[in-house]
Formats: sequence, structure tokens, C-alpha cells
Amino acid sequence: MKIAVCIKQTPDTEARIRIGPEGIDEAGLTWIISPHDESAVEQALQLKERQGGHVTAIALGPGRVESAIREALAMGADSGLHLACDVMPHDAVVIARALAEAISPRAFDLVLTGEQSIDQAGSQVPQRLAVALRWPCVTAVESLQVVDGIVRARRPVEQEEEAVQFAVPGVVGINRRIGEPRYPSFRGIMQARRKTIEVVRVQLGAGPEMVQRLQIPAPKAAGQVQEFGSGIEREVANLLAGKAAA
Amino acid sequence: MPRRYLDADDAFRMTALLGEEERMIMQVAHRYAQEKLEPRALEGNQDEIFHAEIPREMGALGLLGSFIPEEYGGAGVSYTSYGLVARELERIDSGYRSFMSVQSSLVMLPIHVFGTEEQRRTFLPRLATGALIGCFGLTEPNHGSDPGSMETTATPAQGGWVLNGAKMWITNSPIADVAVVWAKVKDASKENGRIRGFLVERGAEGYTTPKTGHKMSLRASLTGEIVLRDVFVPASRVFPEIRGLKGPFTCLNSARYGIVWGALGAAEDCYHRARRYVMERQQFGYPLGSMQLIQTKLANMLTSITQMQLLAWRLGQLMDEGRAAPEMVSLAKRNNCGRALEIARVARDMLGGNGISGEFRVVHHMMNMESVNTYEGTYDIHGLILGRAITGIQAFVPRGNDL
Repeated sequence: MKIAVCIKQTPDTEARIRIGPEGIDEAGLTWIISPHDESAVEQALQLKERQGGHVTAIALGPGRVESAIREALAMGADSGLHLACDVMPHDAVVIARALAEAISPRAFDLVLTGEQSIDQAGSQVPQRLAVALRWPCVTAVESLQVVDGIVRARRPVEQEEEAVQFAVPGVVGINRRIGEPRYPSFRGIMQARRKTIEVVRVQLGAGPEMVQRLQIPAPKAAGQVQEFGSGIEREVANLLAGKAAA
Repeated sequence: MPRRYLDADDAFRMTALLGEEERMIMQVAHRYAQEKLEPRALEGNQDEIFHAEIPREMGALGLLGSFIPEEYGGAGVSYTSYGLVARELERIDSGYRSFMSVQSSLVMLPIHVFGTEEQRRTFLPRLATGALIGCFGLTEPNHGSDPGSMETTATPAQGGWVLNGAKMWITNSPIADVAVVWAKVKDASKENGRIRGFLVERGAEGYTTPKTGHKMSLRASLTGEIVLRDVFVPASRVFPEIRGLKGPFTCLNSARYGIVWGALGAAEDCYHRARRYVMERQQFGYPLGSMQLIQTKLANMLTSITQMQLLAWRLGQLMDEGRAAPEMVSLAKRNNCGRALEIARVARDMLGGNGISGEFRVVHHMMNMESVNTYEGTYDIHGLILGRAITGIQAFVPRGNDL
């Protein structure tokens, strides 16, 4: 089975984000594979280990994203595909279109990706990618099996669980809760340099979404802590009413 | 033009000097240490527990003997990467780094460098996975800084050697499956008095490893003795070529290099914890971090840490190029341990009463650094090694009184 895993490189969740004139200031920033995508890599590797196959890690973005691909290779992916552009686009439409154009001619059986990225959390790429490929799609997946070309996925829906089944090819959006990804072993890291990353320059068209300005949210003001009793309830009610009126 | 600012975690951008693989190795070690070791470290240090599953966890990732070539079970990483691993482990506790250092530099390295092919094939792959644990016996009850006058002896016997003596302050000895033991040849030949290296396996008759109790430092790793009473070691378990102190010193040089990075990790953790604390803790209506006395302490810490980082990084480069002299390792080991101990003490002080509690995790580093500053060549001994290199005159042996 040929599996593609689409990964996004995002700032480390512990990183301190600074906004410069050109957007997020990338100097000194540490980067990671977005956590849901990292779990998608893990699922792809488990499928490969169970039934054989080939896992290709695909990332879109500037030169820096090759380190994310290299990390997926160190985890155990077989090859990498870097869709190179100068600036990482914000728009899920643009991203999905570029991924679909790369995936379409390469005859993959299955595409796995995170259900959303940790930085923008738009939750749109898996569905839009599936539409562009005209493939079935299931997302927010917390349990996945592929047997004889049939994908069986489970995902939470309100208090219930939904079971989805379709024949490959298809797109699966993975939720981190499906399981912790493995750490790359040191040996895997050393072997990753012997694996190839194909670089394809992509031309990105404009999408409907535009980012005008980025800013760090103002720090939250300290809250008030008051004991109940002695008329405080009335004060709270007034406060809420006042806020509602404003 | 982007605005330039000081990153208070990496003031001189040392991370940018690392290669891609080194950065990845650092990240894996960081995640493992923070996610898997940190939750056990408080209990480990307070209650003197080295969790038995840790060696195999480290082995699965490749942290043990990481610089050993792949064909013997290692990952063949650079010395810089090995140092970065030491730094990440010691951010949590020097005990975990000590375990890794001993296994890698003091056991796997001598087997790889001085051992026979059969010894390499027998021990290295299992030491790399953590299936086997090793220890290193050099220090004795009466011989610390002066190992050349060791009393442990090796007497030739039919088909091998018989070892007698005692080793002390041996990290991992109570749980080790194999011990690299250094002993003096005792016979009538010209080999008499020369130091040789032996691999002693658990189960050998007359070999015991009592645990050392009442340690106030490095409590998250196990320390013990090695007692040798007429222990027979077959000829196949002797390092064939190496003679003299060059053997143990080759191992110590590599381990000391790891300590250079490890001490940095401990210092960085103390600094991070102190910095977070003084920004949150308010006294006299203001955060402690707004006080001048506190700010200069933080400035001193960051300055020392930046120097320690650059020293460690440059030494790693020289090790990888095969151009590091042992005196360079002495300089860096002495500097980084001394500074880390100072930083840990100041951080303890900045945390006030809370600094006394193990929950705030700084006092553990402070206690650990007392050992780290002492073992593998004390601060003063490394000063004498440097003094000899600078002047050409050794000052280990006091002269004058007996002249």
C-alpha cells in the first residue's frame, strides 16, 4: 500500500511567538511537526509495519520544512516530498489544491493527515483535499484499520461514536487521541539522511482568504475573587446585567 | 530589517550552530527527558529510586553508547550529539545522566576501543539496548584523585587471572551485569605493577557489589562498591593490549566531556526555574523579578550559562574533529561544574524557603552538583592538570619538605 502523510511544520507549542513587520518573526523559533500530523505519521508507519508498503511524508512550505520531513523519515517514513514555496500560505484552499496536485499523479492508495494544525486549527485541509482529489474522506479519526483495501475508521460524534467505511483511495484526518507517536530513534535519525526528499517547486494561486494583520492578544486582566454571601450575588448580577447592556 | 532581541534561553544562539541531525537528537532527548523522566525524578531523588525500566527506555531510543558504530548496536552519532543528550538528561537529574555516561563512556567505549572483537560482539549490542547494565571500577577507598597507586591486584592463574581488592563510589554497581575493573598486575614478570582492564561478570564467585547508603547527592542513580575476593576472570575477558592509566583515562576523558554538557543542563534548569519563580512571586507588592538584586543574579546566571554553552559546543566540535586535548576537557569540566554548582546555589537562594523543598526541584540540582563537581576529577585536580599544562611543572606531588 502506498501511503502519503501530509505534515505541516508549526512553531513549537512551547515557543514564544513574536510578531514582526512581516508576520511571525521566525528568528530563533523552534519548529515541530504539528501534533495531529505526527500521530498521522505514526498511523501510517503502523499500517506499513502490519501489511507492508511505502510511506511518503509530504510537506508544503519554505526550505525550513525539510527538517519536518527529515523528522518523519527518522520516525520511519521511506521517502519525502517537499512542495517548495517561499512563504507558507494561510489559506486551506490553496494548501489543499497544492497537495492534491502533487498527490493526484503519484498513485497513492491512502492519504493520512492531522485533522487540524496546531497553529491555525482551521480543520479544513483533509476535507478540501479529498474534494479536490474526488476521494472519500473521514476526519477526527480516533481508531483506524485498513484491511484488504477497506478503510474502517471510528470517530466521536457528540456522545456517540461513528464508524465509517470506504474502499481506498481515500483521505483520513487523524486526531492525536488515536495514540502517541513514537520518538524517532537515534539510529532512525542517522538513517534518515540516506533517504531521499524529492523537491518540487509549486506555484500557488490566490485563495479567498487574506490575512491583513497578526497581533498577540492583549494579556487578560486579573479576575476578581469574592466570597459568596453578604450581597455579593446582587453585585455580580448587576455586573453581568451591565455587561449585557453594554 | 527585523528587530534584534536577546533570547533569554539561548543568548548567543548556540542552537543555530548545531547540525540538523544534532538538533533532532537534542529534541528527541529533550522530549524523552521531560515527558518520561521528569515525572519520576522527584520520587527518584527523594526516595533514592532508580526505576528499573529506565535503561531499556533509553536503549530503545539509542541514548546508550550513541556514538558507538551501528554494527555494534550504537547509532554512530557525533560527540556533539552525545553531549546534547547528556545536557537534556541532566536538566532533569544528574543521576540519570550519570547512568547514561557510565554505560556509554566508561563501559561501552572501553569495550569498543580496547576490547577484542569477541568482547565487542558479546557485550556492546546488549549494552546498547539496556538489556545489560555496566559499571566502571577505578576509584578505591584509599585512592581517589590518585588512581595510579591503586591496591586492587590481578594475579596470573591457569586460564586467566585472579582479582583481589575493593572499588568504591561505583555508579550502577549494585545493578550492573558487567563491570570494567582496573587492577594492577602482581607477578614476577616485567608486567608487575602495570594497570590492566578486566571485564568481570555478575555471578563470578567472590564478586559482590554492596549498595552505598546515606548518599545526600545523586540519589536518583545507584552507587555501590565492588568487592573482589579471589575472583577468577578468564583470559577472554581481559583487554588484550592496553596498559597503564591511559586505559581508564581514555574513558574518563569521554565521560568528562559528557559532564561538560550535563552540568550545563542542570545549570539551565536552575536558571529557568529561578526565573519563572521570581516573575511570579510577589513581595512588598512587586514581583521579585523587579528587584535589582534579583536581576543581577539572573544576569550573572545567563552570562555564565552562555559561556558554558559556547565552551561545550566548541569542545564538541574539537572532539568530533579528533583535535581535543585532555586538558581542554579538564578546562571545560572544571569550569562548567564549578559554574553550575554556583548557579544551583544561587537559584536555591532565590527561591527562598521554597527552594528547600524538593518539589521545586532546584535543591536536587544543588546537591547533585556537589558530586558532579567532585567526581571524574575534582575541581582542584583539573586545576592542577591545567597548571601543569600551563607551566610544564606538575604539582600533584608536594615537593620541598622531603628534598
